[in-house]
Amino acid sequence: MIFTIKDLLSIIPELIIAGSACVLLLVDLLISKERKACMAVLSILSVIAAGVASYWLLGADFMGAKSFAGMFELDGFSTFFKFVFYTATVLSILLSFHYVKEEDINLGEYYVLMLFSLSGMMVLASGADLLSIYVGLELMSLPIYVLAGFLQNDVRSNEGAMKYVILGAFSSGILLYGISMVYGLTGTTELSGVAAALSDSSVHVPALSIAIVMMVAGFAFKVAGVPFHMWAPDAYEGAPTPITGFMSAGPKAAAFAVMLRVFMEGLQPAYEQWMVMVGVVAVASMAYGNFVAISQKNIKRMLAYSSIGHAGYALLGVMAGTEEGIASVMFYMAVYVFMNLGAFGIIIMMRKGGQRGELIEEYTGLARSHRGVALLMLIFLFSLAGIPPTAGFMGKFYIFMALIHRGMVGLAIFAVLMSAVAAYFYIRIVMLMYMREPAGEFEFARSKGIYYALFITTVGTVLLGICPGYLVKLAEMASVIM
Amino acid sequence: MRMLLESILGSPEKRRLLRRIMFVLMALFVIYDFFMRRHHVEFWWDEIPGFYAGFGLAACVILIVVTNAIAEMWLKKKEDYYD
Amino acid sequence: MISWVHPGLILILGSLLIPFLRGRVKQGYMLLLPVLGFISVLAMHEGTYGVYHFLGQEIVLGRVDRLATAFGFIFTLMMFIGVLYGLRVKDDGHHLAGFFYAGSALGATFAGDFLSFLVFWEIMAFASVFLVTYNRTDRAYKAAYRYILVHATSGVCLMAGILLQYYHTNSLAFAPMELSGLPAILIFFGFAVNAGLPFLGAWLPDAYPESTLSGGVMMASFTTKTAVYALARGFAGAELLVWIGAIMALYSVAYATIESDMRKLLSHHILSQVGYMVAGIGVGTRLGIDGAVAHAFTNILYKGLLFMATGSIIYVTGRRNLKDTGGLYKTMPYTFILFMIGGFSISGVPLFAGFASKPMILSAAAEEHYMWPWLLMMFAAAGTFLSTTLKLPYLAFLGKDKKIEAEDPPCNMLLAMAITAFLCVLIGVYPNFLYRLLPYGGHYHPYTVEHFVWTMQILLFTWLGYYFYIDKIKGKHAINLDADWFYRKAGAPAFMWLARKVFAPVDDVVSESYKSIILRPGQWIASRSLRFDKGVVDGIVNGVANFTVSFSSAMRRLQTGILQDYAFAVFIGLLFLLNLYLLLF
Repeated sequence: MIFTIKDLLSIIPELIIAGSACVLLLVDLLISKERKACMAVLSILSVIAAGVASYWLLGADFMGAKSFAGMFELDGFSTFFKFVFYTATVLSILLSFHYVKEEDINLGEYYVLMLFSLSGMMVLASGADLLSIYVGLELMSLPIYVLAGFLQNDVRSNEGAMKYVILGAFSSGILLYGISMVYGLTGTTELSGVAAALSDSSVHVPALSIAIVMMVAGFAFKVAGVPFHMWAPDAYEGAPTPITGFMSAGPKAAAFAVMLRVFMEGLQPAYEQWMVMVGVVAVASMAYGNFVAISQKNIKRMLAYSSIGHAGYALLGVMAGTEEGIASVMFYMAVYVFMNLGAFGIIIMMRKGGQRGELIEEYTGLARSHRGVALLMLIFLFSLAGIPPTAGFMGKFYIFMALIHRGMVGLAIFAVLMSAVAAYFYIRIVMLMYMREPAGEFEFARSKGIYYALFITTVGTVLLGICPGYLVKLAEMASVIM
Repeated sequence: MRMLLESILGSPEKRRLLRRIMFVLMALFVIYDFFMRRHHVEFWWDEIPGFYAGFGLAACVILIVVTNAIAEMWLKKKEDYYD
Repeated sequence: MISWVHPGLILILGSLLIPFLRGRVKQGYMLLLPVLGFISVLAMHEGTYGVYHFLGQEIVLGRVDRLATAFGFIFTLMMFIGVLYGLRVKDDGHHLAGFFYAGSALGATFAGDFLSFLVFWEIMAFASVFLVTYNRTDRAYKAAYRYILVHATSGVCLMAGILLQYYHTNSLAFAPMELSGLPAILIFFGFAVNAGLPFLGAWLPDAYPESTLSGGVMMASFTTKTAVYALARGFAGAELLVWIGAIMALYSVAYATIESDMRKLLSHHILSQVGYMVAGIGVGTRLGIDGAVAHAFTNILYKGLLFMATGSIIYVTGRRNLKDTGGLYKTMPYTFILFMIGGFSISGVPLFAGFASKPMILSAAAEEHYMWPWLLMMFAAAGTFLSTTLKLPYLAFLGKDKKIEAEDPPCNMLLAMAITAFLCVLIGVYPNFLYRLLPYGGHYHPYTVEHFVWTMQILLFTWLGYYFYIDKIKGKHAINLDADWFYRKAGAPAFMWLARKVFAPVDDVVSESYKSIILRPGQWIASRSLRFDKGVVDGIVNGVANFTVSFSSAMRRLQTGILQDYAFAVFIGLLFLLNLYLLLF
């Protein structure tokens, strides 16, 4: 295999991230523990540099072309998702600043691991071959496993990480099994090749269906769809809070990116078969995630279940199987990054050592003494609940429209009903904040990083709710992957 | 204004006078109804002089008696009923 | 030159500055916003403005026609009065909630498509709930929670209906509909909850009396009247509405007759008056629609006036129940007189606002020969006079003097009431002032000899009936059961019983085997539809909540925390999907 200069140019953003991660690992040795914040700043700068490179590539003449012998695809779709990842990473780093000091995990590797994970996501979004996709998936996941258990002295953190690793390996195995069966059936791992082979109906043997089941299961694990969600609540609760936010925004979006790519490009001819599987997972996720979230007492755990529910909504968009469906998932993921990380930002702000800020009860009466914070939390929660005019409503509405255009109106109505269930537990927190007298004093973590992050997420959540047109247009333009 | 109101509503004589005026008005409106030319008749009872007087009285009494009966028998509950 | 400015956005965006202003400037600014809104409605020409394309659909923020502008005028006008009345409220949050509420009511009124309508509709619900919570009493918090749950449920119905409607018509345009088929019925249900149709409107007398004083004035004006607008836009001429409206008028009056809490009594009258409007919409003729709009217009004024006057009593004396009041006319003379103007207006006494609007609806019903609805509404008219204009003022202002220390409220509150009272009289004396604004031009003459004589007969003889019973009708400390009983009292125990006797045994099975997850939804659906069949429609609201809590804590047990269980679960899930394939293909 011969690399051309174009091949190298098309992976500049990935190179920047991976390279700066390596360099930062060395730089870390030179920086004293008190000044680790430099690492965060440098990480953010490298993400921004990658963002600039991605933006520049948009105008390049090899945009939309495959490189590395069809392993890697640089197109609008992947670029859209890369920007979602950049945003998620930058916001998570901003939120981490203060938190890592507070928790005494102020180590340089923390940021480096985030960057490595980011590079994995980017490879994933651009992967055009089942093998590069698998490599990207592992590159994304391995650092996350470590980060989930980063609170070395916290049993919950260790336990959550342990479960995450083992179940992750289990699901990787399942996915790999599916990939190998697809290769066996079609003789290729390249997605376009797979699609070409599958368009011949003689390949539609029962083994193909088993392969599809395996792949749905593998990806459903990554997006935490029921019944492959079991790792999520424990891992979410145990992980350092900024990492929880990161996990639920970045890797989840990446998993959706690759899912769209594999199913819509590679397995498009077998749509009838995977559509049912994805639909079952979607319905189960919406129902289970939203119902179980109601009885949670820990807000991180509640958000874990709610993120299972949100995965269900997004899976509906995948299931629609149209360009509009793809665009709606893309839009939803972008929106989700803002509203979810915003909510996590408030949780981090409430945290003052120990478990403080994690119990839902602790939000009682917040609006009495801290109107601003309560108002922001209200916006994020309303958005997560899908109440207009927030971004979350637009995201859901877009998915519903895609479903209806596909004639799946029953599913759309089911999703609407589930969002009513979801509204119940989000509104409960709002009512706690606004309708009770506070039990004690509130103390906040005050840090510039959190302020910046909250500013960005608030603007994103509100703006995408009121004028979603621009981003929707971008998503529509980028949704052409078939 | 307070003086004016009190001078009218405060003294029993004035109140009695007011009441008398009301009774006279009632009689006048019913009597006039017998001679009034009807331009527009929508329902058959429009032709009956004094129908609406009877209707108003009946409606008022029925409403008071029936609703209070239902309230006493069924709907009325102590204020802390839901607590 | 900007051809069209959205009055709702003036209020919503303009209100964002309020927290940064202080003192007189702030008060002036708050009064200025509704004035600007009014001017923008005044300057509008019919047409379609603010069109955006989103998801291949037309989003129309400004559908300007005579129906929308009529509501635009009264909403901005009432907002001005409401702001003036609540000028002394200290909380910026309260002001913001009020402006968002009124602004979104305007937004819904001018929305030409269902998406933006739904958005504004939901903001209305979520903004208005703060007008209740700012009262800061425990009762208010609880009522607010019920209020928001009811409205969230109706919002979901509305959204489901809109999506289904879109599926069938492939358009999001908010156009007239037939009241048949699931989509239209779901949409109608969403409207009906906000309009407070019988059995669906229990939230209103539940929440409004607990709201803040100026909040109550705004709530009395916007939520139900926006729903009236929506019904007029969507379901004009649906015959069923004539009957529902007439029954509603009487049903709510009956509740008012036995109510002693002043604002609760008036809340029942809101519903009763909305009943007239609904009936007018159901008649659907030009006169019927004009009558409904005219009645909404006058109702907002006199109901606002009545709420302001009773609010003043509560503000000054702190007493809200007619059992605790009496003889206030000596200490609050102006409030008394202004209240009576409102009372005369709502009862349709000649020369007052109600006389200009209510007969329109009755005449429209008569013209179409709706005999029984007509009689029911006449009956309700007598009842309205009885409880708002005879009973309430008698027990509050006249009656036995309770020697309460009181005085007339501050000048801004008096001024707000005076302006409203003036408008009530103006419309009563010169109805064309109102008729010119109506969708079909309001060609109607209330001042005929027959109308005058008959109205006076009804009113005078109602007074006679009251006079017989005057000593028997007293205030009382009690509550009257309403449809909210279903979700406040019956829903909770019923679900607890279900949870203990039906679901708990099943629970044990579930926690043992993973497969039961698949079993559960089936039972869930079965038990839900069973309940629904029993006809406990109202139980849905709090009931679902209680049920889901118990359901979800059962589901939580699945999260055992043991890794092997999870791995096993993944394995089973995999098997399940495989089985699914084998079943399907």
